Amino acid sequence: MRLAVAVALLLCAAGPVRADEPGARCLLRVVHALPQEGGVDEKLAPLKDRLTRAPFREWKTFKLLSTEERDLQPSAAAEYPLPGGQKASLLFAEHATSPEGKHLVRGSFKLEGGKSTSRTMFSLDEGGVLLVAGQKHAGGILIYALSCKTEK
Amino acid sequence: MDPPSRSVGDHQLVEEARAGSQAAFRGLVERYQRKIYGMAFAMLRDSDQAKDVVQDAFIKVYQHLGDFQGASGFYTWLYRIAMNLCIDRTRRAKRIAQVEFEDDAAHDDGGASEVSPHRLGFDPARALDDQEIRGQVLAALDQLSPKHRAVIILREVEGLSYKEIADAMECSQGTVMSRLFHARKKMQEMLRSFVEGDGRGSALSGDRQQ
Amino acid sequence: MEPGDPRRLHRLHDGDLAADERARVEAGLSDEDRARLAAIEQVGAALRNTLEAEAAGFDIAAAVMARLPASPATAGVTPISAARSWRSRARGVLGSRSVWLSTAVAAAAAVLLFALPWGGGVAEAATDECEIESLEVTGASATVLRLPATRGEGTSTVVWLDEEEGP
Repeated sequence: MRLAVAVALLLCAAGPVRADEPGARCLLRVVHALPQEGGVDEKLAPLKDRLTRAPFREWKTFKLLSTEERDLQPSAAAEYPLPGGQKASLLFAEHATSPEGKHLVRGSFKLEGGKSTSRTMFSLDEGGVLLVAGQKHAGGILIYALSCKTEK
Repeated sequence: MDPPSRSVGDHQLVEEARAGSQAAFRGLVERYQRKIYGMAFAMLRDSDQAKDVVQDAFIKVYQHLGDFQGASGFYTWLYRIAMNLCIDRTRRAKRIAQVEFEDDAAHDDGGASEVSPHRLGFDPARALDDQEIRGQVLAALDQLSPKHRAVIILREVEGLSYKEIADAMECSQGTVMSRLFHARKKMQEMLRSFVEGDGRGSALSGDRQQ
Repeated sequence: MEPGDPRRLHRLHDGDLAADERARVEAGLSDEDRARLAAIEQVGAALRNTLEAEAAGFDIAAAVMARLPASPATAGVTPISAARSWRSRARGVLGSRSVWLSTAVAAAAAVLLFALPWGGGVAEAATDECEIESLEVTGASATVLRLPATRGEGTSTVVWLDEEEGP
Protein backbone atom coordinates (compact mmCIF):
# COMPACT_ATOMS: atom_id res chain seq x y z
CA MET A 1 0.00 0.00 0.00
CA ARG A 2 2.76 2.38 0.97
CA LEU A 3 4.57 1.73 -2.29
CA ALA A 4 1.42 2.34 -4.25
CA VAL A 5 0.96 5.65 -2.52
CA ALA A 6 4.59 6.52 -3.15
CA VAL A 7 4.33 5.81 -6.87
CA ALA A 8 1.12 7.81 -7.08
CA LEU A 9 2.72 10.74 -5.31
CA LEU A 10 5.75 10.58 -7.59
CA LEU A 11 3.60 10.56 -10.68
CA CYS A 12 1.63 13.55 -9.40
CA ALA A 13 4.78 15.43 -8.48
CA ALA A 14 6.24 14.85 -11.91
CA GLY A 15 3.48 16.97 -13.37
CA PRO A 16 1.38 16.47 -16.48
CA VAL A 17 2.89 14.65 -19.42
CA ARG A 18 3.45 16.89 -22.41
CA ALA A 19 2.71 15.39 -25.78
CA ASP A 20 5.98 16.69 -27.24
CA GLU A 21 8.15 15.49 -24.39
CA PRO A 22 10.59 12.86 -25.70
CA GLY A 23 10.87 9.61 -23.88
CA ALA A 24 13.96 7.85 -22.65
CA ARG A 25 15.55 4.60 -23.73
CA CYS A 26 16.86 2.87 -20.63
CA LEU A 27 19.06 -0.18 -20.55
CA LEU A 28 19.21 -2.40 -17.49
CA ARG A 29 21.90 -5.04 -17.24
CA VAL A 30 21.76 -7.58 -14.43
CA VAL A 31 25.14 -9.01 -13.50
CA HIS A 32 25.98 -11.90 -11.17
CA ALA A 33 29.33 -11.43 -9.47
CA LEU A 34 31.11 -14.38 -7.87
CA PRO A 35 34.33 -14.61 -5.87
CA GLN A 36 35.79 -17.49 -7.91
CA GLU A 37 38.17 -16.75 -10.74
CA GLY A 38 36.34 -16.64 -14.06
CA GLY A 39 36.73 -13.28 -15.70
CA VAL A 40 34.30 -10.80 -17.12
CA ASP A 41 31.64 -11.95 -19.56
CA GLU A 42 32.56 -10.52 -22.96
CA LYS A 43 29.05 -9.10 -23.25
CA LEU A 44 29.97 -6.88 -20.33
CA ALA A 45 32.84 -5.21 -22.14
CA PRO A 46 31.32 -1.72 -21.79
CA LEU A 47 31.32 -2.16 -18.02
CA LYS A 48 34.59 -4.02 -17.65
CA ASP A 49 36.63 -1.10 -16.36
CA ARG A 50 34.01 -0.30 -13.78
CA LEU A 51 33.70 -3.89 -12.60
CA THR A 52 37.37 -4.62 -12.25
CA ARG A 53 38.21 -2.02 -9.68
CA ALA A 54 37.07 -1.13 -6.21
CA PRO A 55 34.55 -1.76 -4.78
CA PHE A 56 34.23 -4.90 -6.91
CA ARG A 57 37.74 -6.26 -6.53
CA GLU A 58 36.80 -9.16 -4.29
CA TRP A 59 34.68 -10.60 -7.10
CA LYS A 60 36.48 -12.34 -9.94
CA THR A 61 33.65 -13.58 -12.14
CA PHE A 62 31.01 -11.38 -13.72
CA LYS A 63 28.21 -13.06 -15.65
CA LEU A 64 25.57 -11.18 -17.56
CA LEU A 65 22.21 -12.61 -16.46
CA SER A 66 19.96 -10.38 -18.51
CA THR A 67 19.88 -7.28 -20.64
CA GLU A 68 16.72 -5.40 -21.27
CA GLU A 69 16.23 -2.13 -23.08
CA ARG A 70 12.94 -0.28 -22.78
CA ASP A 71 11.54 2.90 -24.25
CA LEU A 72 9.85 4.83 -21.50
CA GLN A 73 7.53 7.77 -21.70
CA PRO A 74 7.68 10.55 -19.09
CA SER A 75 6.13 9.47 -15.80
CA ALA A 76 5.80 5.93 -17.09
CA ALA A 77 7.19 3.00 -15.14
CA ALA A 78 8.48 -0.30 -16.51
CA GLU A 79 8.99 -3.52 -14.62
CA TYR A 80 11.88 -5.91 -15.07
CA PRO A 81 11.77 -9.45 -13.70
CA LEU A 82 14.87 -10.35 -11.71
CA PRO A 83 16.46 -13.52 -10.36
CA GLY A 84 15.04 -14.94 -7.15
CA GLY A 85 11.52 -13.70 -7.73
CA GLN A 86 12.51 -10.10 -7.29
CA LYS A 87 11.47 -7.33 -9.57
CA ALA A 88 12.83 -3.98 -10.51
CA SER A 89 10.80 -1.04 -11.62
CA LEU A 90 12.14 1.95 -13.39
CA LEU A 91 10.27 5.20 -13.55
CA PHE A 92 11.38 7.80 -16.05
CA ALA A 93 10.34 11.17 -14.67
CA GLU A 94 11.68 13.81 -17.02
CA HIS A 95 14.55 15.20 -19.02
CA ALA A 96 16.50 18.00 -17.38
CA THR A 97 19.59 20.11 -17.81
CA SER A 98 22.38 20.45 -15.29
CA PRO A 99 23.83 23.86 -14.41
CA GLU A 100 26.76 22.92 -16.66
CA GLY A 101 24.41 22.33 -19.57
CA LYS A 102 24.57 18.54 -19.53
CA HIS A 103 21.48 16.66 -20.53
CA LEU A 104 20.10 14.53 -17.74
CA VAL A 105 17.50 11.86 -17.34
CA ARG A 106 15.76 11.91 -13.98
CA GLY A 107 14.03 8.87 -12.65
CA SER A 108 13.57 6.35 -9.94
CA PHE A 109 14.88 2.79 -9.73
CA LYS A 110 13.17 0.45 -7.30
CA LEU A 111 14.10 -3.04 -6.19
CA GLU A 112 11.56 -5.15 -4.30
CA GLY A 113 10.57 -8.68 -3.52
CA GLY A 114 13.86 -9.72 -1.98
CA LYS A 115 15.42 -9.54 1.43
CA SER A 116 15.84 -5.82 1.06
CA THR A 117 14.00 -3.15 -0.85
CA SER A 118 15.37 0.08 -2.13
CA ARG A 119 14.28 3.04 -4.18
CA THR A 120 16.88 5.33 -5.70
CA MET A 121 15.95 8.65 -7.27
CA PHE A 122 18.67 9.70 -9.69
CA SER A 123 19.76 12.19 -12.32
CA LEU A 124 21.79 10.41 -14.93
CA ASP A 125 23.93 11.83 -17.69
CA GLU A 126 23.60 10.35 -21.12
CA GLY A 127 26.48 7.92 -21.16
CA GLY A 128 26.56 7.68 -17.39
CA VAL A 129 25.93 4.47 -15.52
CA LEU A 130 24.24 3.97 -12.19
CA LEU A 131 25.34 0.80 -10.44
CA VAL A 132 23.25 -0.69 -7.65
CA ALA A 133 25.07 -3.59 -6.08
CA GLY A 134 25.37 -5.82 -3.08
CA GLN A 135 22.23 -7.94 -2.90
CA LYS A 136 23.27 -11.50 -2.13
CA HIS A 137 22.50 -14.09 -4.77
CA ALA A 138 23.66 -17.69 -5.33
CA GLY A 139 27.04 -17.42 -3.68
CA GLY A 140 27.73 -13.96 -4.96
CA ILE A 141 26.06 -10.63 -5.39
CA LEU A 142 23.88 -8.97 -7.97
CA ILE A 143 24.89 -5.80 -9.74
CA TYR A 144 22.33 -3.74 -11.62
CA ALA A 145 23.77 -1.40 -14.21
CA LEU A 146 21.41 1.25 -15.50
CA SER A 147 21.98 3.72 -18.31
CA CYS A 148 19.55 5.96 -20.16
CA LYS A 149 19.48 8.20 -23.20
CA THR A 150 16.96 10.34 -24.97
CA GLU A 151 14.58 8.38 -27.13
CA LYS A 152 15.02 9.41 -30.75
CA MET B 1 43.49 31.75 11.96
CA ASP B 2 45.35 32.67 8.84
CA PRO B 3 47.68 29.97 7.63
CA PRO B 4 51.40 30.62 7.76
CA SER B 5 53.21 32.25 4.88
CA ARG B 6 52.38 30.78 1.52
CA SER B 7 55.88 31.23 0.16
CA VAL B 8 55.80 27.48 -0.34
CA GLY B 9 52.56 26.51 -2.05
CA ASP B 10 50.30 23.69 -0.96
CA HIS B 11 51.03 21.79 -4.13
CA GLN B 12 54.75 21.81 -3.53
CA LEU B 13 54.31 20.67 0.05
CA VAL B 14 52.00 17.90 -1.11
CA GLU B 15 54.54 16.74 -3.67
CA GLU B 16 57.33 16.75 -1.11
CA ALA B 17 55.16 14.90 1.40
CA ARG B 18 54.31 12.33 -1.24
CA ALA B 19 58.00 11.84 -1.76
CA GLY B 20 58.36 11.08 1.93
CA SER B 21 59.08 14.44 3.53
CA GLN B 22 57.39 14.53 6.89
CA ALA B 23 58.59 18.10 7.35
CA ALA B 24 56.57 19.10 4.31
CA PHE B 25 53.52 17.40 5.68
CA ARG B 26 54.03 19.07 9.01
CA GLY B 27 53.99 22.37 7.13
CA LEU B 28 50.55 21.55 5.82
CA VAL B 29 49.36 20.57 9.28
CA GLU B 30 50.64 23.79 10.78
CA ARG B 31 49.11 25.79 7.99
CA TYR B 32 45.59 24.46 8.35
CA GLN B 33 45.16 22.89 11.76
CA ARG B 34 43.52 25.89 13.38
CA LYS B 35 41.15 26.42 10.51
CA ILE B 36 40.13 22.79 10.58
CA TYR B 37 39.78 22.88 14.33
CA GLY B 38 37.58 25.98 14.17
CA MET B 39 35.30 24.25 11.72
CA ALA B 40 35.24 21.00 13.67
CA PHE B 41 34.60 22.75 16.95
CA ALA B 42 31.76 24.73 15.43
CA MET B 43 30.28 21.57 13.97
CA LEU B 44 30.66 19.35 17.00
CA ARG B 45 30.72 21.82 19.88
CA ASP B 46 33.07 19.56 21.76
CA SER B 47 36.76 20.39 21.94
CA ASP B 48 37.89 16.78 22.45
CA GLN B 49 35.89 15.52 19.50
CA ALA B 50 37.06 18.43 17.38
CA LYS B 51 40.65 17.62 18.27
CA ASP B 52 40.09 14.00 17.27
CA VAL B 53 38.62 15.08 13.96
CA VAL B 54 41.59 17.31 13.19
CA GLN B 55 43.99 14.47 13.89
CA ASP B 56 41.95 11.92 11.96
CA ALA B 57 41.55 14.25 9.00
CA PHE B 58 45.28 14.84 8.67
CA ILE B 59 46.03 11.15 9.09
CA LYS B 60 43.55 10.30 6.35
CA VAL B 61 45.01 12.96 4.13
CA TYR B 62 48.47 11.54 4.65
CA GLN B 63 47.32 8.01 3.93
CA HIS B 64 45.67 9.14 0.70
CA LEU B 65 48.15 11.65 -0.60
CA GLY B 66 48.66 9.32 -3.54
CA ASP B 67 45.00 9.68 -4.50
CA PHE B 68 45.05 13.46 -4.43
CA GLN B 69 44.86 14.77 -7.98
CA GLY B 70 44.85 18.45 -7.22
CA ALA B 71 41.70 19.28 -9.14
CA SER B 72 39.96 20.89 -6.19
CA GLY B 73 42.94 22.20 -4.26
CA PHE B 74 44.49 20.67 -1.18
CA TYR B 75 42.54 22.85 1.19
CA THR B 76 39.17 21.94 -0.29
CA TRP B 77 40.12 18.28 -0.20
CA LEU B 78 41.21 18.47 3.42
CA TYR B 79 38.06 20.33 4.31
CA ARG B 80 35.88 17.79 2.64
CA ILE B 81 37.48 14.99 4.60
CA ALA B 82 37.22 16.85 7.90
CA MET B 83 33.66 17.89 7.22
CA ASN B 84 32.68 14.32 6.41
CA LEU B 85 34.25 13.18 9.66
CA CYS B 86 32.23 15.78 11.52
CA ILE B 87 29.04 14.80 9.75
CA ASP B 88 29.71 11.13 10.50
CA ARG B 89 30.01 12.00 14.16
CA THR B 90 26.86 14.07 14.21
CA ARG B 91 25.04 11.25 12.45
CA ARG B 92 26.06 8.82 15.12
CA ALA B 93 24.48 11.07 17.67
CA LYS B 94 21.21 11.53 15.83
CA ARG B 95 18.76 9.33 14.05
CA ILE B 96 20.02 8.99 10.53
CA ALA B 97 16.77 9.93 8.85
CA GLN B 98 16.74 13.31 10.56
CA VAL B 99 20.24 14.11 9.36
CA GLU B 100 19.58 12.99 5.82
CA PHE B 101 16.30 14.67 5.20
CA GLU B 102 15.75 17.40 7.70
CA ASP B 103 16.90 20.35 5.66
CA ASP B 104 16.27 19.10 2.17
CA ALA B 105 12.57 19.60 2.69
CA ALA B 106 13.15 23.18 3.74
CA HIS B 107 15.54 24.23 0.99
CA ASP B 108 13.36 26.25 -1.23
CA ASP B 109 12.17 28.81 1.21
CA GLY B 110 11.93 31.60 -1.35
CA GLY B 111 11.80 35.00 0.27
CA ALA B 112 11.81 33.49 3.73
CA SER B 113 15.63 33.59 3.71
CA GLU B 114 15.69 37.37 3.80
CA VAL B 115 17.64 38.65 6.76
CA SER B 116 16.28 41.44 8.88
CA PRO B 117 17.66 44.94 8.21
CA HIS B 118 18.49 45.30 11.91
CA ARG B 119 21.92 45.05 13.43
CA LEU B 120 22.75 42.41 16.01
CA GLY B 121 22.89 44.83 18.91
CA PHE B 122 26.50 44.14 19.78
CA ASP B 123 29.84 44.63 18.12
CA PRO B 124 30.93 41.31 16.54
CA ALA B 125 34.55 42.22 17.29
CA ARG B 126 33.81 41.68 20.97
CA ALA B 127 33.61 37.95 20.25
CA LEU B 128 37.40 37.94 20.12
CA ASP B 129 37.76 38.62 23.84
CA ASP B 130 34.32 38.09 25.34
CA GLN B 131 33.58 34.52 26.22
CA GLU B 132 29.92 35.16 26.86
CA ILE B 133 29.42 36.51 23.37
CA ARG B 134 31.24 33.51 21.96
CA GLY B 135 28.95 31.29 23.96
CA GLN B 136 25.93 32.98 22.44
CA VAL B 137 27.31 32.69 18.92
CA LEU B 138 28.03 29.01 19.43
CA ALA B 139 24.61 28.47 20.97
CA ALA B 140 23.08 30.04 17.86
CA LEU B 141 25.16 27.71 15.71
CA ASP B 142 23.75 24.82 17.71
CA GLN B 143 20.32 25.69 16.45
CA LEU B 144 21.33 24.93 12.88
CA SER B 145 21.29 21.51 11.29
CA PRO B 146 24.76 20.07 10.58
CA LYS B 147 24.47 20.86 6.88
CA HIS B 148 23.38 24.45 7.46
CA ARG B 149 26.16 24.84 10.00
CA ALA B 150 28.71 23.45 7.58
CA VAL B 151 27.72 25.78 4.77
CA ILE B 152 27.81 28.97 6.83
CA ILE B 153 31.20 28.03 8.28
CA LEU B 154 32.69 27.22 4.89
CA ARG B 155 31.43 30.51 3.50
CA GLU B 156 31.89 32.94 6.36
CA VAL B 157 34.93 31.52 8.06
CA GLU B 158 36.78 29.86 5.24
CA GLY B 159 35.65 32.18 2.47
CA LEU B 160 34.92 29.40 0.01
CA SER B 161 32.85 30.28 -3.05
CA TYR B 162 29.46 28.67 -3.63
CA LYS B 163 31.10 26.39 -6.18
CA GLU B 164 33.85 25.33 -3.80
CA ILE B 165 31.33 24.63 -1.06
CA ALA B 166 29.21 22.64 -3.47
CA ASP B 167 32.28 20.59 -4.40
CA ALA B 168 33.24 20.07 -0.78
CA MET B 169 29.75 19.03 0.27
CA GLU B 170 28.85 17.21 -2.92
CA CYS B 171 25.68 19.14 -3.56
CA SER B 172 24.53 21.76 -6.03
CA GLN B 173 25.28 25.46 -5.81
CA GLY B 174 21.55 26.09 -5.52
CA THR B 175 21.44 23.91 -2.45
CA VAL B 176 24.45 25.73 -1.02
CA MET B 177 22.77 29.09 -1.48
CA SER B 178 19.50 27.94 0.05
CA ARG B 179 21.27 26.50 3.06
CA LEU B 180 23.50 29.53 3.48
CA PHE B 181 20.70 32.06 3.30
CA HIS B 182 18.59 30.08 5.72
CA ALA B 183 21.53 29.69 8.11
CA ARG B 184 22.30 33.40 8.10
CA LYS B 185 18.72 34.31 8.80
CA LYS B 186 18.47 31.80 11.62
CA MET B 187 21.76 32.95 13.14
CA GLN B 188 20.67 36.55 13.00
CA GLU B 189 17.36 35.75 14.66
CA MET B 190 19.05 33.78 17.41
CA LEU B 191 21.71 36.40 18.12
CA ARG B 192 19.15 39.19 18.17
CA SER B 193 16.97 37.19 20.53
CA PHE B 194 19.90 36.89 22.91
CA VAL B 195 20.14 40.66 23.00
CA GLU B 196 16.47 41.48 23.07
CA GLY B 197 15.14 38.41 24.80
CA ASP B 198 14.59 37.31 28.35
CA GLY B 199 17.76 38.64 29.85
CA ARG B 200 20.03 35.95 28.48
CA GLY B 201 21.72 38.59 26.39
CA SER B 202 21.88 41.33 28.97
CA ALA B 203 25.65 41.42 28.90
CA LEU B 204 25.53 41.92 25.15
CA SER B 205 22.88 44.60 25.06
CA GLY B 206 25.09 46.95 27.03
CA ASP B 207 26.95 47.48 23.81
CA ARG B 208 23.94 48.09 21.63
CA GLN B 209 24.88 49.88 18.46
CA GLN B 210 21.63 51.51 17.55
CA MET C 1 17.47 37.52 -10.61
CA GLU C 2 14.59 39.85 -9.97
CA PRO C 3 15.28 43.20 -8.27
CA GLY C 4 13.17 42.19 -5.28
CA ASP C 5 14.81 38.81 -4.93
CA PRO C 6 16.26 38.59 -1.41
CA ARG C 7 18.98 36.25 -2.67
CA ARG C 8 20.61 39.10 -4.56
CA LEU C 9 21.91 40.68 -1.37
CA HIS C 10 23.51 37.44 -0.22
CA ARG C 11 25.06 36.93 -3.63
CA LEU C 12 26.26 40.51 -3.73
CA HIS C 13 27.79 40.13 -0.31
CA ASP C 14 29.45 36.86 -1.29
CA GLY C 15 30.91 38.18 -4.55
CA ASP C 16 28.82 35.80 -6.61
CA LEU C 17 27.48 38.36 -9.08
CA ALA C 18 29.06 39.14 -12.43
CA ALA C 19 30.42 42.67 -12.75
CA ASP C 20 27.50 44.06 -14.74
CA GLU C 21 24.90 42.50 -12.48
CA ARG C 22 26.78 43.63 -9.43
CA ALA C 23 26.82 47.23 -10.70
CA ARG C 24 23.13 47.07 -11.45
CA VAL C 25 22.25 45.65 -8.05
CA GLU C 26 24.49 48.11 -6.21
CA ALA C 27 22.93 51.03 -8.08
CA GLY C 28 19.49 49.93 -7.00
CA LEU C 29 20.18 49.32 -3.32
CA SER C 30 17.77 50.95 -0.91
CA ASP C 31 18.69 52.01 2.60
CA GLU C 32 16.97 48.91 3.86
CA ASP C 33 19.02 46.77 1.50
CA ARG C 34 22.21 48.37 2.85
CA ALA C 35 21.05 47.63 6.37
CA ARG C 36 20.44 44.02 5.42
CA LEU C 37 23.92 43.79 3.90
CA ALA C 38 25.39 45.17 7.11
CA ALA C 39 23.40 42.60 9.08
CA ILE C 40 24.74 39.78 6.89
CA GLU C 41 28.28 41.04 7.46
CA GLN C 42 27.71 41.24 11.21
CA VAL C 43 26.60 37.62 11.41
CA GLY C 44 29.68 36.52 9.49
CA ALA C 45 32.01 38.66 11.57
CA ALA C 46 30.57 37.33 14.82
CA LEU C 47 31.10 33.79 13.59
CA ARG C 48 34.62 34.41 12.32
CA ASN C 49 35.73 36.16 15.48
CA THR C 50 34.21 33.49 17.68
CA LEU C 51 35.91 30.62 15.92
CA GLU C 52 39.19 32.47 15.62
CA ALA C 53 39.22 33.02 19.37
CA GLU C 54 38.24 29.42 20.08
CA ALA C 55 41.02 28.08 17.86
CA ALA C 56 43.73 30.46 19.08
CA GLY C 57 46.68 28.56 20.38
CA PHE C 58 45.44 25.24 19.09
CA ASP C 59 48.44 23.19 18.03
CA ILE C 60 48.23 19.52 17.39
CA ALA C 61 50.99 19.16 14.85
CA ALA C 62 53.22 17.08 17.11
CA ALA C 63 50.42 14.65 17.91
CA VAL C 64 49.54 14.28 14.24
CA MET C 65 53.14 13.68 13.27
CA ALA C 66 53.48 11.06 15.98
CA ARG C 67 50.57 9.12 14.52
CA LEU C 68 51.75 9.13 10.91
CA PRO C 69 52.63 5.86 9.31
CA ALA C 70 56.17 5.53 8.03
CA SER C 71 55.32 6.75 4.55
CA PRO C 72 52.26 8.02 2.75
CA ALA C 73 50.25 5.52 0.77
CA THR C 74 50.32 6.02 -2.95
CA ALA C 75 47.63 5.15 -5.45
CA GLY C 76 47.83 1.57 -6.56
CA VAL C 77 50.05 0.57 -3.69
CA THR C 78 47.58 0.46 -0.86
CA PRO C 79 46.38 -3.13 -0.62
CA ILE C 80 42.65 -3.39 -0.86
CA SER C 81 41.83 -6.92 0.10
CA ALA C 82 38.10 -6.60 0.42
CA ALA C 83 35.40 -4.31 -0.77
CA ARG C 84 34.07 -3.96 2.75
CA SER C 85 37.23 -2.36 4.01
CA TRP C 86 37.42 -0.21 0.90
CA ARG C 87 33.87 0.93 1.42
CA SER C 88 34.44 1.89 5.01
CA ARG C 89 37.43 3.93 3.89
CA ALA C 90 35.41 5.52 1.14
CA ARG C 91 32.81 6.74 3.60
CA GLY C 92 35.31 9.16 4.95
CA VAL C 93 37.38 9.99 1.95
CA LEU C 94 35.02 10.17 -0.96
CA GLY C 95 31.97 11.36 0.86
CA SER C 96 29.00 9.13 1.12
CA ARG C 97 25.72 8.76 2.74
CA SER C 98 24.60 5.81 4.70
CA VAL C 99 20.92 5.22 5.11
CA TRP C 100 19.45 2.57 7.33
CA LEU C 101 15.79 3.19 7.58
CA SER C 102 13.22 1.26 9.49
CA THR C 103 9.92 0.75 7.76
CA ALA C 104 8.31 3.48 9.78
CA VAL C 105 11.05 5.96 9.15
CA ALA C 106 11.07 5.11 5.46
CA ALA C 107 7.41 5.97 5.24
CA ALA C 108 8.00 9.28 6.95
CA ALA C 109 10.99 10.01 4.76
CA ALA C 110 9.00 9.35 1.62
CA VAL C 111 6.75 12.27 2.38
CA LEU C 112 9.74 14.56 2.65
CA LEU C 113 11.37 13.16 -0.46
CA PHE C 114 8.38 13.99 -2.55
CA ALA C 115 8.52 17.53 -1.30
CA LEU C 116 11.66 17.96 -3.39
CA PRO C 117 11.24 19.98 -6.60
CA TRP C 118 10.85 16.85 -8.67
CA GLY C 119 8.65 18.37 -11.30
CA GLY C 120 10.93 21.31 -12.04
CA GLY C 121 12.61 21.79 -15.37
CA VAL C 122 16.16 21.93 -14.06
CA ALA C 123 17.89 19.34 -11.95
CA GLU C 124 20.12 21.63 -9.96
CA ALA C 125 21.54 18.78 -7.92
CA ALA C 126 23.05 16.93 -10.83
CA THR C 127 26.57 17.83 -11.82
CA ASP C 128 28.19 14.48 -12.42
CA GLU C 129 27.52 11.38 -14.44
CA CYS C 130 24.95 10.24 -11.94
CA GLU C 131 23.62 12.14 -8.99
CA ILE C 132 21.64 10.34 -6.33
CA GLU C 133 18.85 12.64 -5.31
CA SER C 134 17.42 10.41 -2.63
CA LEU C 135 17.56 6.86 -1.42
CA GLU C 136 15.12 4.79 0.59
CA VAL C 137 16.18 1.40 1.89
CA THR C 138 14.65 -1.26 4.11
CA GLY C 139 16.35 -4.49 5.15
CA ALA C 140 19.81 -3.22 4.32
CA SER C 141 22.17 -0.38 4.93
CA ALA C 142 23.14 1.61 1.88
CA THR C 143 26.22 3.55 0.96
CA VAL C 144 26.54 5.81 -2.04
CA LEU C 145 30.03 5.64 -3.46
CA ARG C 146 31.35 8.24 -5.85
CA LEU C 147 34.30 6.67 -7.58
CA PRO C 148 36.83 8.97 -9.16
CA ALA C 149 37.24 8.99 -12.91
CA THR C 150 39.94 6.78 -14.37
CA ARG C 151 41.18 5.70 -17.76
CA GLY C 152 38.89 7.98 -19.69
CA GLU C 153 35.79 7.00 -17.77
CA GLY C 154 33.77 9.58 -15.96
CA THR C 155 32.92 9.38 -12.31
CA SER C 156 30.97 6.28 -11.41
CA THR C 157 28.21 6.18 -8.85
CA VAL C 158 27.50 2.98 -6.97
CA VAL C 159 24.66 2.41 -4.55
CA TRP C 160 25.93 -0.38 -2.35
CA LEU C 161 23.41 -2.39 -0.38
CA ASP C 162 24.63 -4.33 2.65
CA GLU C 163 21.80 -6.64 3.50
CA GLU C 164 21.13 -7.26 7.15
CA GLU C 165 22.02 -10.63 8.60
CA GLY C 166 19.20 -12.92 9.70
CA PRO C 167 16.57 -15.24 8.33
